[in-house]
Amino acid sequence: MKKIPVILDGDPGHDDAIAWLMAFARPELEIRGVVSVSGNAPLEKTTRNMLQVMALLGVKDVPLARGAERPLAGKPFSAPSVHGKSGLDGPGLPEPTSPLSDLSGVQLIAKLLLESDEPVTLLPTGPLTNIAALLLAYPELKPKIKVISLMGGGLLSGNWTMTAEFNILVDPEAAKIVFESGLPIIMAGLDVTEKAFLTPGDFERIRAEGGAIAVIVAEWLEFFYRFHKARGYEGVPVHDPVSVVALVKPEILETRDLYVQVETSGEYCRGATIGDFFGRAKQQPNVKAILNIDRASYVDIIVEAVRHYGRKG
Amino acid sequence: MRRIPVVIDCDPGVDDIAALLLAKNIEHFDIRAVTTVAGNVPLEDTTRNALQLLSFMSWDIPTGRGAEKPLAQRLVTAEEVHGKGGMSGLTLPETDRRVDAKPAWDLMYDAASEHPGRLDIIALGPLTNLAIALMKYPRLVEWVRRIVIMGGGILTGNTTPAAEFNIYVDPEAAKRVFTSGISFYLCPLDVTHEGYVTREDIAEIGAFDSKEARFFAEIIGRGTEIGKLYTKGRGVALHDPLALLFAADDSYFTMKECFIDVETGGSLTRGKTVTDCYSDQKMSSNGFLVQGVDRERFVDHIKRLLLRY
Repeated sequence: MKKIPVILDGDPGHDDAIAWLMAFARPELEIRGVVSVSGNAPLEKTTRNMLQVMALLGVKDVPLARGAERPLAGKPFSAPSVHGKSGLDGPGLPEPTSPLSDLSGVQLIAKLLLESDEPVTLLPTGPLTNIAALLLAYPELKPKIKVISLMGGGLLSGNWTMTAEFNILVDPEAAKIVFESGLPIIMAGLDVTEKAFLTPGDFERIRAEGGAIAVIVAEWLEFFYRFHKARGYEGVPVHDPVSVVALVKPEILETRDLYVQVETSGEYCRGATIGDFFGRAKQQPNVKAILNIDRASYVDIIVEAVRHYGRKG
Repeated sequence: MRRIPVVIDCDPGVDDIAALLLAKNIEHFDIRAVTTVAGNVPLEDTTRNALQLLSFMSWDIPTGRGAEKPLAQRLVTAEEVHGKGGMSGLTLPETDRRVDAKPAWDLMYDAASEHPGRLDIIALGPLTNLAIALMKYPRLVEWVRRIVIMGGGILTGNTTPAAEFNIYVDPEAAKRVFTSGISFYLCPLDVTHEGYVTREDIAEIGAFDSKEARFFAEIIGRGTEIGKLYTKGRGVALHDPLALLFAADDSYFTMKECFIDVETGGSLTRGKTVTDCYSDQKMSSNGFLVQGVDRERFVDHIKRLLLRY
């Protein structure tokens, strides 16, 4: 089977970690590199979390790089209330086993694109700072990007503010650059990820798979659920892996081709993603927006990913 | 039965006409005045349409002329939706009725002062008249019981990708009303698109034995093409009648109390209604967002009201 070459870019983050765990487990994907970004936690922490998650998953010989430390234009901020102080609070993780690349995140992505004999899929699950910087610094590499499957935004509503989702709000200017790039974009926004939730019953199903990774994933979800439970959620939305599912199991998703813009100003709307549902802007769709998911299948895919590591022992 | 004093502020406009045709037969409403504002079409058109319609219905209530343009910007109209003149190309008989000597905001004030604490204002167009009334008569904040508004869109707009027409036309007025402290109920596109009539409903209404029902069917029937876009081909969305009937009977609607305001800045989002139903911004509630409608009961309510003619 021909594998889809993918570069992961995120700010782990519990749901980034689960997305990466899924991405490395899927036989359809070939992960060419992993890059961190400042977001859920400051860059030092997301970078350390990236290295520790790679050690946990037993990933070797995949280049890992430190990405952008701060947004293009805005002030950095993070989400300790959601992900804890480290950005990935909860169970202890193994010490890093692979070194960081000497290249910056943007340089590494550029190198991987350049070396690839086919266009590569980018999978950003944090703020879009690295991707925007790549497009600005290496415009000639655009043809080497097949699609950007991202987690970010929300057409109906935000979460961090009432209009803006966290990843977009952290770096609206970067998001604007990416959304206006003309590259194919698959958007897993809150519209779908709020429906992609796991319940405490699902956590137990994962734990029952057995093995160290199953326990850790269940504990991540339990930690992540604390924040959401206090807000009245019946489960925890596991946002980022939806972007992986978009590449490997699109049949469980409902999508709509839409023209989506990013607001960078305003009293309330900075960071809002605006979908043109009635064609008012008279523009061609630039985004495949995911609007719904078969939740039961989604849970199965996550359990299957965990099982993959169990078998390896 | 103690009836509820009501003022209807509107910009007829196809669906405003439909709402007025229903309003007369709501028995527990004591409609004190109809006031007009520039919106769907210019003020001269909305005012003439209101006067001609009330005359056609033999409905003798004061008609107050309101604002010719929004508070702080040029008027934008929607003639591509409502047709030149505002009635989808239909005409009503000429009338010798004239507007009241008092403007819209004074009629609102009079109605409120006669029934302090009891007046409902139903706003079906841009909120310019209400904003002017609130600026001229601060006591309205105590005297108006509630405002029911057709306006806004949460998932999406219809004039721009972000903004719904009534709010887009006068974002400053909307902000003035939403932040006034008066209790308000907002019926956005998200719910009005669920309040549609099908081709079959329109045919049934058109066969009712009254000129009012026939006119309702005729003017709404003209909207079937444009209506398809918004209701995924299911029928014609009745935006203004939905807000009116919510005010008359909220038992078949769902709503949520939350923070509601208007973006007046922004490069893409000017005129967008913003609501905080669950975000971590945790804004304090100031109004009610109408979120769902039982469409069958809504359509049944419409038919019952039209059958009373």
